[in-house]
Amino acid sequence: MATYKPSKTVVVDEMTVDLKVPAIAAFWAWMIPGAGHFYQRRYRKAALFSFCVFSIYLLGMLIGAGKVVYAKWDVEEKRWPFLCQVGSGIITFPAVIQAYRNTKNQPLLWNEFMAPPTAQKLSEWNRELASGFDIGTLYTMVAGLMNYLIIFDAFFGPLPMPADSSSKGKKSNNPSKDDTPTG
Amino acid sequence: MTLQMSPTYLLLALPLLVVFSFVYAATRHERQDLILQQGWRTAIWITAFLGSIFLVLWLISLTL
Repeated sequence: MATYKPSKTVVVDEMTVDLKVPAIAAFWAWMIPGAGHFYQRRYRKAALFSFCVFSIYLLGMLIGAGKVVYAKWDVEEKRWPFLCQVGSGIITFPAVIQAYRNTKNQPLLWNEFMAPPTAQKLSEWNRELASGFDIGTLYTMVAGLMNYLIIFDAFFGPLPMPADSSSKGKKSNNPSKDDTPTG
Repeated sequence: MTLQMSPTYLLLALPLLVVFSFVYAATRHERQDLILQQGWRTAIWITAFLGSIFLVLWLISLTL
């Protein structure tokens, strides 16, 4: 017999937002940007977040000629930007697979797409792309960092503004109004 | 004094500015009108913040 698990609701901007199961929403929000909000039926925000993250990520990949997302963590290079980029979810997973295969000395896949480069290759990329490599890296990092904010929104609901003291007490787990979200 | 980079580089900040402003606003509000208002305010704030840093660095560069 299935057990009934009540979903979590918050009141924001005088609207009741049903977060359903926040952990599931957060997981989907990480996997596919916007999917967590789609699961919560916050469709407009799902579309906005999806468009924003994917467009900036794609723009970064175009500026960086598809070479700016890779995972590498060894004595040669510690790829810190990947910690931000991985926030974009499943679209960065090829880099993890390539890094794993690289450490196991297995042949790389997909014509070495998102494969960690050697130091010599990295120098060539920097020379060929000039600032495009750094700007592409920055764009994809921002896409990932934005998705961390989005995951947070899917899990907890919208945060109050930092300096907005009037919003204190607006959030509640016992909503008194039956308004529905915009999505 | 001339800018030591192409001004077109500044255009690269524009997509980031627009997208981040809307994402930030949408993680603070649920109502569409409030998201748009907050997004616009955030964009102005970021532009003013970066602009002021640019101005200070430009003034310093005049003295060099």
